[in-house]
Amino acid sequence: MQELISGFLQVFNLQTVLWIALGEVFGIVIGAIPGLTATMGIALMLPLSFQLSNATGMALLLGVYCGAVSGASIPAILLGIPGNPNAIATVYDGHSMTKKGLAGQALGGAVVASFIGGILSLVALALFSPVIARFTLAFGPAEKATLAFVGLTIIASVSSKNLAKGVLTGAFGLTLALLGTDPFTDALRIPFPEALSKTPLTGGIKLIPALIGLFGISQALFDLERIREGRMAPPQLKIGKVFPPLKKIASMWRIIIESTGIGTLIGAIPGTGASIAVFLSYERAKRITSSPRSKLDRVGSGCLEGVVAPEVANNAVTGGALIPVLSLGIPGDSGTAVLLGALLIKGVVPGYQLFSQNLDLVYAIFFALLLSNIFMFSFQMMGVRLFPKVLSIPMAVLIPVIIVISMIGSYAIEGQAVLSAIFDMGVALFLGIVGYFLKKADYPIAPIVLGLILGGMLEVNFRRAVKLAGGNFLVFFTKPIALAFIILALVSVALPIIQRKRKP
Amino acid sequence: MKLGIRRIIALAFLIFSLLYIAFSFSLKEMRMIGDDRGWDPGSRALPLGLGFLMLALSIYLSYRESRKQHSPQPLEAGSRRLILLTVTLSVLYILLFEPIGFILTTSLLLYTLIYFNYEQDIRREMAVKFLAGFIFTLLLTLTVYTISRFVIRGLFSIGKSSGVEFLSSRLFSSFIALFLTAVLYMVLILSGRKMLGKPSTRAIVISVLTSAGVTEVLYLVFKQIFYVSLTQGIIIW
Repeated sequence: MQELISGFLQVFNLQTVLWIALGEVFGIVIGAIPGLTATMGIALMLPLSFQLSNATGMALLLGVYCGAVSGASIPAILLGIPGNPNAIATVYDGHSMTKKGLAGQALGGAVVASFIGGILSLVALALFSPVIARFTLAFGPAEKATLAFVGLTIIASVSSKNLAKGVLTGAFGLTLALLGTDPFTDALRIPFPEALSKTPLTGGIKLIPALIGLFGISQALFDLERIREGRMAPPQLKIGKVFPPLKKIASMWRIIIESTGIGTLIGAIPGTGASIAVFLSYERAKRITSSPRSKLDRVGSGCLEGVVAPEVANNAVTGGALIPVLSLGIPGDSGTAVLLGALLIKGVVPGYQLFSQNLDLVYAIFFALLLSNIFMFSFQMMGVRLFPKVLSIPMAVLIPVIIVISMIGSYAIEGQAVLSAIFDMGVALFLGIVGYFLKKADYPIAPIVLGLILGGMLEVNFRRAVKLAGGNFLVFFTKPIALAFIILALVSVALPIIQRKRKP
Repeated sequence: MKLGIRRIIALAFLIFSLLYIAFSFSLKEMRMIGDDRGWDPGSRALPLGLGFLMLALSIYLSYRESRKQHSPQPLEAGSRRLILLTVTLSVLYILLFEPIGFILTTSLLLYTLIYFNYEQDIRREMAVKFLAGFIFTLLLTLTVYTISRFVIRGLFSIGKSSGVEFLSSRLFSSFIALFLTAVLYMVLILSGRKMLGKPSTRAIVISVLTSAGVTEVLYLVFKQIFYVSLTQGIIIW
């Protein structure tokens, strides 16, 4: 009870509430601008969160996360272009509604749906994450090493059509994580140690500059390619009535429940993310509404049902994706990978330890997510006529601003040590350029980040497990939980291959 | 034969994995302290394993990409120039950040990138306009910075001498500095409305105003509120 009150007070104070509000507005703006992703928004805010207390910093990032996921529906509905992959499926019915003159209803419906999805998935997060975290009590080094391995394997196999590319970038991320010093002996593990032993490279690659580079700078360079194409101006629309009739929303209860389930479940599977969940829920809603007994409008015909289903699902992903983050330390999608990075940088270790020693922070995260959803609902409803205006901000201005914020944000982490801070700017720029070229060649970025995050956990526990087993490398196959993780990793690799072979 | 981006990346990974294997072999084999029996796989184990895994995958991908017919469309020359400019200036920014200082490098980087992005190309005939804007950016940035320094220092000493604590707080003085900057910007925007409306001068006005404004906001947030030691460089006040 004491932890519950402490968690409540850590969020419901003026400073934290203002940071959540700021994060929410920033998130909605980032989400609403096509080309800028939710992950980029969270990565850009990392340096600020680093300067704040654990709860306030996480609350700020959660605000950005929620805002960016729901903000993506604005251009999807008005222009037919999703702000980011979270709103891919909202385009179909949402934009058709705009063409019919029902833009206000579509925007309002998307906000209501996002709110419902966000709140229901928060309930799932609060119910399931402590139970799964308790599970981790049984984890020794072998289980932890195979857990890191399975997390990496799943994200490598899901994030790209080409498994080899996913595994290769995951391995590249691990090599970056291993730079610096040996975790057990502190011996240098850098190239040319005689020449570079007094440089900041001895501290390894820091997570925040790497995340900012891979998600911020690389995306900005990628968008720069399309700057000459220009962007569609937001149409001059009469938004009209915004709040959808409650009776209509209530009649969609089955779509809402199923979409929440799909979003939460898909979100909780590492590496999957919202783009899969929204399509599944859209297809499911299509099936429900096309049944002859259904009194609902048919999804696909430009109706509210077709907006509600994917919008419930994408915000349900936010809570779902946090389940493995808090309970296992494995992110559900690239956005939560950055959130996990923010926790680890602060020295917070997810899993049973978090729930037993830092329960107040867990409650604070739940309250922050609740408040983020409430703010998202209120701000989007109040600003339904205002937020579409961000679509007029030229990319010519936005891209340089993002690049500079990325650089200064990377610098700020080691803000008192100028040399290290400038080195971090270099790391962010270098990885930004690497990420840009990888994206152009269809290599996924998320496995690099996972490699960076899980590299330390994998190496330390791998070596510890083998040592404890007296040098026996087969230890990972003799422990049931570890073996289950290895089988899961193999299944995650085999499934996409089998599915591809089945396709003609 | 022209190599596509996909093949280049696969080959780059191939070279990287070979170098990484060489690097892993060059590492001194270190074992956990107290590991007398030698059961610890050692500090080389994982790097070597990863090196060989990457080598195998990059050989496979190099072969696979060489058999693919389709390669992504090459970039137009204009877009390529803009990306090259962004990367080059970002590298210069990092190199000059300490000697020249945060305020000037940030503002000038922003101005240059916004201006050329707005014009969507880099051509010789833009030089005069660009230089004019460059000087305006320098002047506006220094003016805004000087006002905020004056306000922050002034409020600090008034707060300390009068005993009114909140006057000397960084948050309050930053807020006042931001407010004064906003007032200055409103005056500038109102007086330069015509220039902002003209397509020939629009790019310059937007670039100058945005670069000086964003630099000031970043300065107030990171330096004044979060105590980050942003380099002063050649600005001594």
